[in-house]
Amino acid sequence: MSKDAIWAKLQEMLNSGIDDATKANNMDELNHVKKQYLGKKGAVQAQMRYMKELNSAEKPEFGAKINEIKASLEKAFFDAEQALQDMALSCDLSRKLDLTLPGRRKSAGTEHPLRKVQREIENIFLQMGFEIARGPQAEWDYFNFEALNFPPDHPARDMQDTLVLKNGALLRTHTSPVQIRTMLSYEPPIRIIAPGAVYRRDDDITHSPLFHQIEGLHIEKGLHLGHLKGILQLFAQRLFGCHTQIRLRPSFFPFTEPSVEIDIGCIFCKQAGCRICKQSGWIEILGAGMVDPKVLEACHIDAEEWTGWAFGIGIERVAMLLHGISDIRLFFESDRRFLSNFA
Amino acid sequence: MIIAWNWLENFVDLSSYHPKDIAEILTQRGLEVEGVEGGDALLDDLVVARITQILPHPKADALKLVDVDLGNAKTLRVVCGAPGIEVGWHVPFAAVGTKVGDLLIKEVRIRGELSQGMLCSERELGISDDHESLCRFSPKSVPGMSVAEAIKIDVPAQCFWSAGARLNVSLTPDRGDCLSHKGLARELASGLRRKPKNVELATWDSKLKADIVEVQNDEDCPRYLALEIDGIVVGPSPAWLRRAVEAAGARSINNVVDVTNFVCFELGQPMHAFDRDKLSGSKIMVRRAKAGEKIVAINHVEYSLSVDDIAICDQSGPQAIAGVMGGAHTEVSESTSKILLEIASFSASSVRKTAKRLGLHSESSHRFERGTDAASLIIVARRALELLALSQVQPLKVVAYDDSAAKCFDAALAMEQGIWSNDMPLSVLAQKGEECRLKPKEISLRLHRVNQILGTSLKPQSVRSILTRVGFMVDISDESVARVVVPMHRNDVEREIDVIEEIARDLGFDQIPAVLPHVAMQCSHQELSNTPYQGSFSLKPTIWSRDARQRQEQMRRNLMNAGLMECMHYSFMDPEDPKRLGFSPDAKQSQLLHLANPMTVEQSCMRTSLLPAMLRALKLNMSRQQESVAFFELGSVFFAKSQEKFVEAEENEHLCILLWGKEADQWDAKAKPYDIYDLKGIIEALANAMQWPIEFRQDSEYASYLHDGVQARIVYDGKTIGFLGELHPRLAKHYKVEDKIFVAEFDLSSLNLLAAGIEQCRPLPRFPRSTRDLSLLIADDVSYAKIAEIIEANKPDTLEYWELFDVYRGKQVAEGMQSISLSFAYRDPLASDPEKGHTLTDEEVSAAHEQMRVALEKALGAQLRA
Repeated sequence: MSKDAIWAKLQEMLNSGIDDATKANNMDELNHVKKQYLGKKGAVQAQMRYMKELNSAEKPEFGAKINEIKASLEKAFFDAEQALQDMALSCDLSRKLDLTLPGRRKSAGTEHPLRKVQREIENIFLQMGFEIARGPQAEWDYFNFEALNFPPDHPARDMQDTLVLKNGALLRTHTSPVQIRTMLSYEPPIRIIAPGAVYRRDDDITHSPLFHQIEGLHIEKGLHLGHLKGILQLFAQRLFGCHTQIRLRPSFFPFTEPSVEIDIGCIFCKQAGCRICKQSGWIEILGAGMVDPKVLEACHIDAEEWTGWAFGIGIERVAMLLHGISDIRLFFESDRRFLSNFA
Repeated sequence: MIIAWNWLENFVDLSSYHPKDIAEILTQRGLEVEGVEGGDALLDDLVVARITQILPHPKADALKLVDVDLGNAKTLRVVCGAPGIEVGWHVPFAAVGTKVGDLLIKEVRIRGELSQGMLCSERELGISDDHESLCRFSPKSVPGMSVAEAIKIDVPAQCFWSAGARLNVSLTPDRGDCLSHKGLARELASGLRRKPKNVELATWDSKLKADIVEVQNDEDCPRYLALEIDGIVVGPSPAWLRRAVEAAGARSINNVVDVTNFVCFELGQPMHAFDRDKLSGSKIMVRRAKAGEKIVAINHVEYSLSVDDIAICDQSGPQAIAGVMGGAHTEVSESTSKILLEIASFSASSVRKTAKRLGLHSESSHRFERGTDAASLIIVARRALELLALSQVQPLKVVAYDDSAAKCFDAALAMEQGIWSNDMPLSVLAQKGEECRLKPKEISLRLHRVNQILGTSLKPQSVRSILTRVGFMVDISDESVARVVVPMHRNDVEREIDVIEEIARDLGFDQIPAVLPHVAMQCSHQELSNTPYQGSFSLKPTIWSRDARQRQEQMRRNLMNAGLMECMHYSFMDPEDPKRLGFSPDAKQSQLLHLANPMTVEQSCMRTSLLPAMLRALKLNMSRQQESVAFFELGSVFFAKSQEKFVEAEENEHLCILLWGKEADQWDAKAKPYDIYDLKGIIEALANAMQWPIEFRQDSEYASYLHDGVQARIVYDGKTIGFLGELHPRLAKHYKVEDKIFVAEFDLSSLNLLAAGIEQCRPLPRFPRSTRDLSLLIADDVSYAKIAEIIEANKPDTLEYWELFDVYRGKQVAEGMQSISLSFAYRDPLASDPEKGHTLTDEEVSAAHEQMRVALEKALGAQLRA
């Protein structure tokens, strides 16, 4: 075959290669075609058979021509690949999903609102260096009443209608017995909070036979009523917001003297007066006081050397206030619709 | 306790204050006012009208046409619906243009008849709740007179015709001294910095002293004052007396009983009137009752007394239960003409015990339990006498009196009589008091201690002026220790700390500075080497370590992340519950701790399992259209170790999980119903996170409340701590649930003792791993646990990880066989070492994989699945 004829064949192959490359519909086809032309056994390689038909002067020229065709083909395939990728991209970009459809969600667990409030209160006091203390719920009269300066026949016992057990114990009416147990077991200084279930013989929309309290006890040398006020103000501000005001009112608990009730400035109306604070601007939140010397003495702590203060707060009450819950029984019914309100 | 504004005003000047302000001041002093009701009566705009003629309404039987005389020859006609009215009555009249409450009076036609005003009831006037008929004034009033003036007619000085605003005061049990108008006024007077006022008192001749009282024991009855009064005429109370006792919340009985109640509400001292002629013998005796002695009280119930009760007796036996209730036999009646008035002090704890045992709580016992003022008895008696005289037209006279503690030092009286004043040294008082059995307490008050407890910097002079203001007598001639004499009515003030509280209360808590203490931080509390506790109950450490708490938080968080909702239930149980769950009587769950005074049977013992409450919660949610429940509760259970007295119960912490229904469907995918492996997965993931070395065993031990074939016990350290499984179909049926319920409950007590290990990191591998799968046919009675055991026992050191990815039983495999598909990942054990490690060759992986296959074949006859 003449050189021209060979050259023509080469040109023809090049043309058909470029043509095939542009015709490929996808990468698989393209790769397949590319292999047909540029593969080890492909069309380009097959052209080498013409080498022997050429003279020695033409051979280098042929080699150059082959390389030139190879390069052209490679460029053609590269361009075709780019074109395919561009096409694929623009095709992909034409997709449109309705993102107003709801997302797929795992069903979420929820924390019980009482535990949530308890944890928040605990954290505030833990950060202040208090530790958590716990005691039994089936408690003895001595720890629940007697050591806390409730004389056996005193109307103060009527303040807490007690559920009694047949084994002579009772269901603790407050978390205060943990104060006694702690003072009898540890050296002062003492800084504890004692959360837990307590029981009273009561059942209505704001009282349940079981509810929860957090007790606090702080015994130190030189503690006074001003410290009680300072720490509880800080506590109220951490729990209800930095601008929360507190107010102390005299009250009576057998185990503290002086005893106080603490109100917070109503967080709902900013003390302007609303339904929740009964127009007073204040909401009763906890009871507190300086530990009565009789209680310290019952625990063999020298009341001249050590002074202390204590408080008790109802968790249900805080949770009802914060979350707008009007019926205490909802906490213990486990209605999913109620529990779902909490994350 | 109800406090009437106009009554309170007799004891302290309240001018320029509104009831709401007073309520706030009282609350700030620790005397909480829960509400204020009513207010100023509508008196100024209304006038007295005399009914001159009553005619029937032509069109309405219930209405009448009433002509009234308004004075100055002015008459008007009013249409009136009040029943029982009569010509001649003097009644309040609201003219056209005045307002009665929110109602503006207009000239109107009622069923065709013209009405030119309105005649009012007591309720419409705002003076009482009486709305039965019209309010009636004394015939001494004059038509046209203003109502404000008319109401004063026939009302003695310092009594009142309308109570005014009513304050509902809720007192703490220590403040018995405030259980009266006078007591509250006394407290209010210090708060308002005003002087308390006194009321009119009658007297009697001290020569009438007779031996008519005998007190067995001064401790039971520190003082007993008896007054015999003749000339009594028992009848309905005059309006002022009736209105007063009704305002205070009592029922009007007759003039004598009403006076005793009036005085009780006014001065806080209960008293009792006996019909003297029905008492036998010349003496009244105060003594302990004999066991089994009987008395019929004025409520006509017979009570059997015990030796702990104090009885007021005549010759024949008990005629009253001291401080609690009088007897029916000697009750004042219309035939009574002579009374014996008892004004006494009784032991607070004794009255409380008796009232509690007999279930008899009265205004009287309520006050005695909280302590009364023995020093005030003479004043009380004089007030009662004054009021008795006012309550009847006929004169009466005291014929005899006796006082078991005549030499009682009455400081208030002493001050009133000028025997003693605040400016006099205490020695004068001490001298006066020396000869008396009943006298005020004296307390030493260290002035530095005041500031030490309150955080204040009060000077001795301020301490003195504060205490004087609240009625204490103070001597500060010693600058460091003051001598403080406590007024007799303050039974609650006994110690230095009580006096300090008084100072804080009067000073106002807003005067206490809020400061934060500087404290030495410590890692944890220091346990005492020897507890001073001498009692017989066990003292367990109370401090809960930060670490333990954090682990509990982690556990709860883990369960919530698994999609569970946290629940809290009452820790009570129905005593039938253990049986219902199939526990045998000697099972631990049947060792119930019973309540002695339960509120309901369902709450009559402490729970031994969290399951019953959980199942009840499930039922509630089913009844409220919920389609799934995934709950957990972390709570206490209680086991009675013995039914003997004073044996401590065991309190453990349990975890209970319940799954029912299915997770919520997604809009593009239906959720699959929960099954037992969902439950097991939750527990496994929890155990993994908490590093609990627990195992699940399906062998000899079974829980009665679970399906026999779908349950496993949870084992820790060789001991069963709980079970998981499918609720027994019998129980599911009991709870009327058709779907399967999956539950787990286990004891956390020993797991809670485990400390968290600190996670350790191994170097990451530098060479890739190779994964090979293996599908085997194995007899279907071979458990997965057995397969795992064989793999673990035979694994080459290049087996890094393996897992199950499919279990198939069915048509594709032969009867009695199961197909188990496992995936094995191989890697050079030294893969984290770049020098010594290498990528495993195909040959190495194949050899190891073959070793696994052969081991399973040999041990279990496992065949490669074609």
